[in-house]
Amino acid sequence: MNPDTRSTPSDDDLDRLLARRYRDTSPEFEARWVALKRELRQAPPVRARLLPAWRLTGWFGAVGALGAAAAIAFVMYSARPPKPIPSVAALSPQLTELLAMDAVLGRALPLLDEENRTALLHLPASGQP
Amino acid sequence: MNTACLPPFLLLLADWLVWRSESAAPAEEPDGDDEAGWMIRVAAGEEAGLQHLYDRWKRPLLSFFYRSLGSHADAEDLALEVFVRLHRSAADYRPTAKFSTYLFHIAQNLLRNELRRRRRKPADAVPPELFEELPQENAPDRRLAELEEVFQRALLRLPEKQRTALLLIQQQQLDYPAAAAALRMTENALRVLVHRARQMLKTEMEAMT
Repeated sequence: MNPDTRSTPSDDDLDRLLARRYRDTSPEFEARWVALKRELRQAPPVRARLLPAWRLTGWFGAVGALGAAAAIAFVMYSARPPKPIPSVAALSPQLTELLAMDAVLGRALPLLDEENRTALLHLPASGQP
Repeated sequence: MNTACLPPFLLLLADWLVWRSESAAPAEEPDGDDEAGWMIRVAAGEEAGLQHLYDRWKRPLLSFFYRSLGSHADAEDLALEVFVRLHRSAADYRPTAKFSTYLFHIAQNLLRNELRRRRRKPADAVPPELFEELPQENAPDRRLAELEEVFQRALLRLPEKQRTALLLIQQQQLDYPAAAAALRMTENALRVLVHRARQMLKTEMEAMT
């Protein structure tokens, strides 16, 4: 190596070395570019998406969060203990009496068959002894 | 306007309207520096758009990749890959920053993938005559040619972040805001990084000579 190069590189040397660029490209590189361009021509650029990627992510996130919230609400609702039936004591005395009568009479069997019972119910009141 | 309080369907409608207006806008005739205009052409499938970007950026990209990897063949591969990525992403491109910022962000991602993929393999030396000096093209300097090999070896010893910062600022001549945006760091942090990179590069070169 030239003894000059053994000296410390100056700032100017450094600047000039850093600023160096390719003067030209090789014919092989240009040939590769032509081939690549042909390939790209057959695969046109993809159409712009309806929304940019970051916006799509936001939308998916919002929809996902809504879905998760709905699922949590459903689970909480279905796990809720059933509403208690109001106790008899909470009802009015008249209704309590009516319910008691219904419980007794609901099980009673009619003494007459339906035809006779209907006829009896429609007897004129004046015909009574 | 605070869009957070709008009902979601209105936001969706607004997005759709924006998309319609952007996609329906005719490709303007780009001027010399309007790379965004050329990207619109690429998105529209015009081959001339991609060819323009290639003609303008192929040498900066090759230089950047060569200095970063020390391999001419790999530099060519990655430079072509950048144009493939540009072609693919043209439809989504939004000129929110300088085109060079966008371009070198892609380049840096590819570079990192490449460095991750392989541990550095021996560089195939590029004859110095393939390089030109931008500031002083006529400087007849044999010393520089002799320093080239040491310089390249020393450059490859720098951490990737420092090397990329140095190249974007000094080789690609990006301004600090653009380079900082490409590297996703503040301008001040970039200034410190470049300063340290230069110091380290000099130290490495001194140790090698």
